[in-house]
Amino acid sequence: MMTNEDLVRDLRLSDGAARRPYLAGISCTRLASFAFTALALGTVGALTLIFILQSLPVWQDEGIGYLTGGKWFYRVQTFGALPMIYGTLTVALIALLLAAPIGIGAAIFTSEFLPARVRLAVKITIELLAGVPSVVYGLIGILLLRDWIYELFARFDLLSGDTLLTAGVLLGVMILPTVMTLADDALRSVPAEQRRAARGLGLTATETVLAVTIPQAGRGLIAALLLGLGRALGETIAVFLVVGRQDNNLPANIFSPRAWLESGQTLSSKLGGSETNIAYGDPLHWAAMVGLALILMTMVLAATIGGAWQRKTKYAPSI
Amino acid sequence: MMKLMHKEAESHDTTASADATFRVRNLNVTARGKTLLRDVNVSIAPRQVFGIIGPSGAGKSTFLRCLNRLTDLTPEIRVSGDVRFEGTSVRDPSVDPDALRARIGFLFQQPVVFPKSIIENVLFGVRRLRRLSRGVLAEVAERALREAALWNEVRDRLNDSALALSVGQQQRLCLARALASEPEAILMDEPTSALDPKSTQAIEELILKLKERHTIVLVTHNIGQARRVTDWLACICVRNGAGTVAETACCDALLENPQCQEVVEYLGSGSSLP
Repeated sequence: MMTNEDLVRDLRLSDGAARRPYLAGISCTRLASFAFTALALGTVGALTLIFILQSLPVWQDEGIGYLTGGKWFYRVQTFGALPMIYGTLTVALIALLLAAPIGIGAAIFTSEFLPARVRLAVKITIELLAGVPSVVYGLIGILLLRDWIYELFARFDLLSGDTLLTAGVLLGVMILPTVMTLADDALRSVPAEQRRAARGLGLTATETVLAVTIPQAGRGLIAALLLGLGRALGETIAVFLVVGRQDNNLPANIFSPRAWLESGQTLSSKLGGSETNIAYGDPLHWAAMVGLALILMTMVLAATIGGAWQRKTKYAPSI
Repeated sequence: MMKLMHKEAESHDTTASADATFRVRNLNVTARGKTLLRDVNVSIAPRQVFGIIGPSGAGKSTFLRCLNRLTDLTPEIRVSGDVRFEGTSVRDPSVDPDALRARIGFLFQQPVVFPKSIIENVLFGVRRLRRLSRGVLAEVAERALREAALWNEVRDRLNDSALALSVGQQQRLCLARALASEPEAILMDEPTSALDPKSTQAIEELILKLKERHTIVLVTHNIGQARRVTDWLACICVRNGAGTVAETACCDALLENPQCQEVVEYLGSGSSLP
C-alpha cells in the first residue's frame, strides 16, 4: 500500500528520466509526433513530386501551351488545359458569389442575433448539410436544378440545363455550410467586450455589427471564403453530373456571363470521366491527365493555405 | 436596525428625488430564476459623484447596467421596477435604448479600446450618432481628449494605434470616447481596478473635475477612493440571497458612522481599505 508520502516522494523522484522516456535527450512524445507530422507532410510532398514527374512529358511536348492552349484532342496528341481551368474557376466563382453573401449573412444572424442555445442548434443543423455525400447533391442537381435553370433562362436558347451556371449554383449550395460555419466562428471570435463597448456608446446592434464585428472578423471571413473556395475547386462528382462535360468550350470573352449558360468541363469533371482510364496506356496522354491533377492540386492548395494563413495570422491593428 | 436603515434611505430620497438625475424605485432584477437585486431604491442628484460600494457579487455592476439598460444585452436578465433618468422612465416604450445609452457614458472595469487609431477611437461613437463635418469632429476630439487629460500625451500621435497606449492611457481614452458625445451622466464600473496608483490618481482627479458638468455614478471596491471622490454613497449588500441597498448616506456619514450591520461588517473586513 502506498502512503501519501510515498506517492509524493515517488513523484519527485520520477520527475524526469524514470517517468518520461528520453531518446538522446529528446522526449519520445516529441519525437513520435514529429515523425507523424513528417509522414503527413512527406506524403503530400511525395504526391506532388510524383505528379510533377509523371506529367513531365506533356510539359516537354506542349510547353506553356499546355496551360494556355484551348484545344484538347487526345487522338491527335494536342493538349490544352485552358478550357478546363476556365471551367473550374468559373464554377468556383459562381459558387462563391452565391455562398459569400448568403453564408456570411446567415453567420451574422446566428452569431450576433440568436441566443446562444438556438445558435448552436442552427449551427449543428447547417454543419449536418456539410456531411451530405456530394453524389446526393449531384442527384438533387439533376432532379431540380437542371430543369429549373433550363426554364429560367429559356429565352437565351439553352442547348440543355447542364451548364457551368448549374454546376456553380449547385456548388454554391454545397459550400454554403462550410462558409457559414467558419464565418460564424470568425464573428464569434470578436470579444464580447468590444460589442458591449460599442453598445455602451449608443450604437445600435446593426451599427455595432458593421463598425466593430465585421471589420475585426475580416480576416476570418476571408479565410472562410477561401476555404469554401478550396472545397469548390476540388469538388468532382456533383459537378460531373450537371456541368455537361463539354470539351474545348472556351468563350471568346472569358468575362462574359453569357458563357455561363453553356456546357463546360472542369479539371475535376475531366479527371472523373472515362478518359482517365483510356489515357493510361499512352505516356503523353497520361502525362496530360496527371498534369490536370497537378494544376487542380495547386489551385486547391493555394486557396486552402491562403485561408489557413488568414485564419492563423493575428489581427493587425489598422491605422 | 432595519428600521433605522429604511429611515436613512427614505430621508435621502425625499431631499433629492425632485430633480434627481436617476431615480430608482423598487428595482428587481432576476436571471434564470435567481434574484440578483431586490427592492432597490436610490436617488442620484445631478452633478455629484454617487459611489456604490459593497461586497463582490452583490450586484453593484448589475445595478449600474440597469441605469442605461445595458442589461438588455443579456437576454436572460429580467428587470422590473421604475428607473427614471431625468424624469423619464428608461423602460418606457417610447424610449430608444440606443439613444438613451448615447446620453449616458459608460466606463468598464477593463479599458476596451477598438483596434484602430487613437483619433478613430475618440470619435467612434460620436461620428455615428451625429452628422458632423470634419472640422467639427477634429474640435470634438480635441475637447474630449483635453477633458480626459490625455491631449498632451497623444496630440502628436493621434493616428497611432490605440493599442500602443498604456492601460491607464487606454482607460482615459475610453473616457474621452464617452465624453465626445457629451453625455449627461457617466457610469463607471470600477474604472481603476486594472490601473496602477498613478493612473488611478489621474482618473480620480478627472472624476472630481467632471462632476462640475456631469452626474457620475461610480462603483468602487476601494474605500479610500470612495472617501476621496464621492459625495453620496450607497452600500449594496446581499440580504436573503439577493443584493439590495443596505444603506445610503452622504459619504462621510456612511464611512464614519455606518448604521447598518452589513455595512459595518463590510467596512470592517479590512480587505478593501486603501
